[in-house]
Amino acid sequence: MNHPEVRMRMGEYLQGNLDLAQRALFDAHLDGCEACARDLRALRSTVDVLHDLPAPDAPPHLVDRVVARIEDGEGRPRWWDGPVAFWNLIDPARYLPPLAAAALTSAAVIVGV
Amino acid sequence: MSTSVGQEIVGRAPVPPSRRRRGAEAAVDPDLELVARWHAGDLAAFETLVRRYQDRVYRLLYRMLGSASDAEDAAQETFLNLHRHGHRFRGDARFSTFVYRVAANTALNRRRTLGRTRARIEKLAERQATGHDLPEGPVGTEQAALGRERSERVHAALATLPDKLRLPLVLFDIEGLPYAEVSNVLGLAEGTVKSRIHRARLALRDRLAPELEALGVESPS
Repeated sequence: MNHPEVRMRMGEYLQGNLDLAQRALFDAHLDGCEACARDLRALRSTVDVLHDLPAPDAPPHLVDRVVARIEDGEGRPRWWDGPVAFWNLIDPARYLPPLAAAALTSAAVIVGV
Repeated sequence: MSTSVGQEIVGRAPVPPSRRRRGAEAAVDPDLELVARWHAGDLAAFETLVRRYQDRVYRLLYRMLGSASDAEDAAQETFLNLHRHGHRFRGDARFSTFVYRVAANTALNRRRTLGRTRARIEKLAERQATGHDLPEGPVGTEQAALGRERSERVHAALATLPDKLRLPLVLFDIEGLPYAEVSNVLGLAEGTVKSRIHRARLALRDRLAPELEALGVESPS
């Protein structure tokens, strides 16, 4: 396994997704390449740091507040949930710019600019 | 409607740290009985589900939003959304997956809203950098062991990742969901999830280089 290939497969290696033969080739490269070994150690330590993050619990009053809001009627479907869900579904950030460009072009053609 | 609810209806062992759950697949969804009772109008059953998922939902939102107060607001909104749209849960995925999906959507919508106000984001980053607006509560041994400062820097680094990398990383590396569940929560192919997690780790590794050096790990070449 060569240098770029090892860099590309580092994620699979850490995730345990390489088969035995590939893993052996990967390990053989690491034995002779300090740069890749260093990269892998840094990547593994990054994952360890994430695993060691403290896990905060929810505030103790959260459940009571949720139940109180439901009892106040906030947990019922709202009339705008439909349009909002649609709006989120169409992903406006992706579709609005081309739609706006098309609208401007059409307007320019209509007014004869 | 009665408020005298909250007893655990179905007995369940305390949830271990999430990363230990990876790979532990139960044959039967343990939430289905409660879900059926909730769908039949039993608010106590819903409250039990909220108790069961509140910590997992809060943690995910805290990692995504970076602020305890935003995470709490979003957690309330998540459970209200769950109550509003719970009828859409048909049992074709695990209920936990459905809950994570609602929480993830709530987080993304909230970040979109926050993103429209640049000043708000900058203020949030400033509060994080100075250690404000972290979750309340006693400092546990786990947090003491890691060190508050490091935890803050890791969160600040996480905050710089784009949502499409941050969310799978948080679900997999911090919340400990298996690939298949992350894939279901996000509606992405498993290969895409793996690739995004790897890209997120690489980006985070570069951002955390000083942290890693402090831990005795040399910087990548």
